[in-house]
Amino acid sequence: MDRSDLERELERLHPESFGWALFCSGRDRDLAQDVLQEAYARVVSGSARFQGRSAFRTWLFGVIRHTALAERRRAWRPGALPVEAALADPAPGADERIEEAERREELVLALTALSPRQREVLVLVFYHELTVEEAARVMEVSLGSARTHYDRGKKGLLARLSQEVRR
Amino acid sequence: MTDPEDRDLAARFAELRSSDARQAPPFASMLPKAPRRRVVALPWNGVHWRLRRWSSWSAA
Repeated sequence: MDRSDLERELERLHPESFGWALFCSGRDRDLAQDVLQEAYARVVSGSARFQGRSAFRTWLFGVIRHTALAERRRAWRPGALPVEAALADPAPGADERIEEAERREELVLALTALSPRQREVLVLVFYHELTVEEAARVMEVSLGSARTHYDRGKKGLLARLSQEVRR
Repeated sequence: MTDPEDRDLAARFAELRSSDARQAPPFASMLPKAPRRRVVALPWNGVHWRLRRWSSWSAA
């Protein structure tokens, strides 16, 4: 892939990549932007090179994940999801419904209760619509391990969400 | 996804995804700038300008 092909692919996946960077950055918007900028720089400069061993999206998500881990280590930022940042929506549309905002809040809070691995696999499968196998590739774990995190995470998430509904 | 619980989760995540997508910064602002072309100082750079200046002096 030459630079223009890479840029076209990056642009096509940009909204999704930002969503993934948000999760990898503990839902910190500023950090997510830094991470994404750094990841794109690595891709465009060729320091991270796509070899075609998986789908481009799977590979790119791996690069974003690695970059976020490195950024967080460098900046000493904890991995917990800061709730205020998670829920901030600087430009809500006029048609945004309060009910939807509450459901998003519940989901993000329920995700904070899961382990990082469980959160990752659920986000990759439900948010990004990857298969568990693809999620395992992004997370660099075995398929069996990803399935375990997926099953436990889903149970935990559903339990949390049903508690929220009962409140 | 045939399981109703999975469908419910997928719908919740989809709401979050579309909200996040609205917050995405413009793609162009995220890309590294193309490296600037280096201006190399060569001995013949500015020769035309120097010749013109010389010819205007000599004509004066």
